[in-house]
Amino acid sequence: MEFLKKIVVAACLFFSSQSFAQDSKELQTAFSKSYAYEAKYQYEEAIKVMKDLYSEKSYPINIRLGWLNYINKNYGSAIVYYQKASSIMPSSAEALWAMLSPQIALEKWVDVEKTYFSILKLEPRNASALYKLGLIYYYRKNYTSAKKYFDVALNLYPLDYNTLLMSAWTNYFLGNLNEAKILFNRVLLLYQTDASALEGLSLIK
Amino acid sequence: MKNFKKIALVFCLLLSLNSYGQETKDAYANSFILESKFMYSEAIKSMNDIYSEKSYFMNVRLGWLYYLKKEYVTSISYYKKAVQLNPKATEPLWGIALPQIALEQWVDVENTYLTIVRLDPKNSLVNYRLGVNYYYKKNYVEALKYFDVSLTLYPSDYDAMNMTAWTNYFLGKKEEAKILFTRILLMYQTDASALEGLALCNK
Repeated sequence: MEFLKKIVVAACLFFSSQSFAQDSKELQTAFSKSYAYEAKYQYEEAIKVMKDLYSEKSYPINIRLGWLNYINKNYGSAIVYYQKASSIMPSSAEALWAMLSPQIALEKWVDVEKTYFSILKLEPRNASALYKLGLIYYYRKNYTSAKKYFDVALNLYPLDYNTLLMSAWTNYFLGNLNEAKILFNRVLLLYQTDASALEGLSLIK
Repeated sequence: MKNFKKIALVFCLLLSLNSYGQETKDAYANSFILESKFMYSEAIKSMNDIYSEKSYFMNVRLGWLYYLKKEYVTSISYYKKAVQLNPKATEPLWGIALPQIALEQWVDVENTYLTIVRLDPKNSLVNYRLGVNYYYKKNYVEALKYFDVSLTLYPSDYDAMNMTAWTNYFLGKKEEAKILFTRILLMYQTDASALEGLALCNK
């Protein structure tokens, strides 16, 4: 398996090498121009420059076009480019994190959830992805699933304010009032006047 | 075993609950205020007055305050206690790395990162830092192993790309190095390190 992976990587590097050798200077100029346009908020021009030498097999170009379309608020197109980047490099978490921005902008929550799952397949202990998945389930009132993800995040970073607070509320809604109380109290050790934790505690008392 | 764990957890939670009296809350609040005024000795005193060896939170807090006070050895001892109390948390390990770096205890830093990577094998930052650690020891084979993990997850990350490029260069993999240096130049056209690397590869 490891060997197979190496062959795939070697092949990718070979093809990249070929195209880079041919177009390296042209590509550098295009990227450079697109950065200059982006800095001036001229997103259409920045996109055009990249599209002029678009290659479906190039990860950097697809990532760049994903980003430029996102800031140009072409969320549908941004997703398409990020999806292409992700299919070129399926082990890239970067492309998935990037894809979340236009998905969130379009409020495609089912897709957002799937993207977080894909991230967790690549980075099983990513506290941010775990926390965000917990949040998705929390707002769906699926507290059992929410707790599952918050627990992992909290085990890794026991003093993280957001995870502490959301774990506290999740436990509260699950009827685990003792656990909720302990967690709200911990939040209050960090922020003595935290309104949410104080509210949670007052509901338990 | 599962039941035992649950009972132990509930017991610990109850202990924690008992320790959160008004005195504890005030001590924490004072320590945060004093920290914000750079009065680290006083912030430490505030925590020490209510110190409990079994509190993860207090040990992390004291580890941090002693680190700010530049008492690195004491800081490490508190973080170590926190690690023992919560061996599955990466948080105190990231904490302990700070005073270890300040003391230039590189073997300990490496061990800390290896512990983090055992808990969080795909953490791109710790993989990158381990790669850097081996790179500066000129152990390029080992460095590449960790840089690869980081770069595979974040292929456009400048630091991971640059260090992977140089590692490949020193391993004699000039084609791979060249591709990576060229990719850096797409993002930063005048990057001195990538230009230098590319010039060496083309020699």
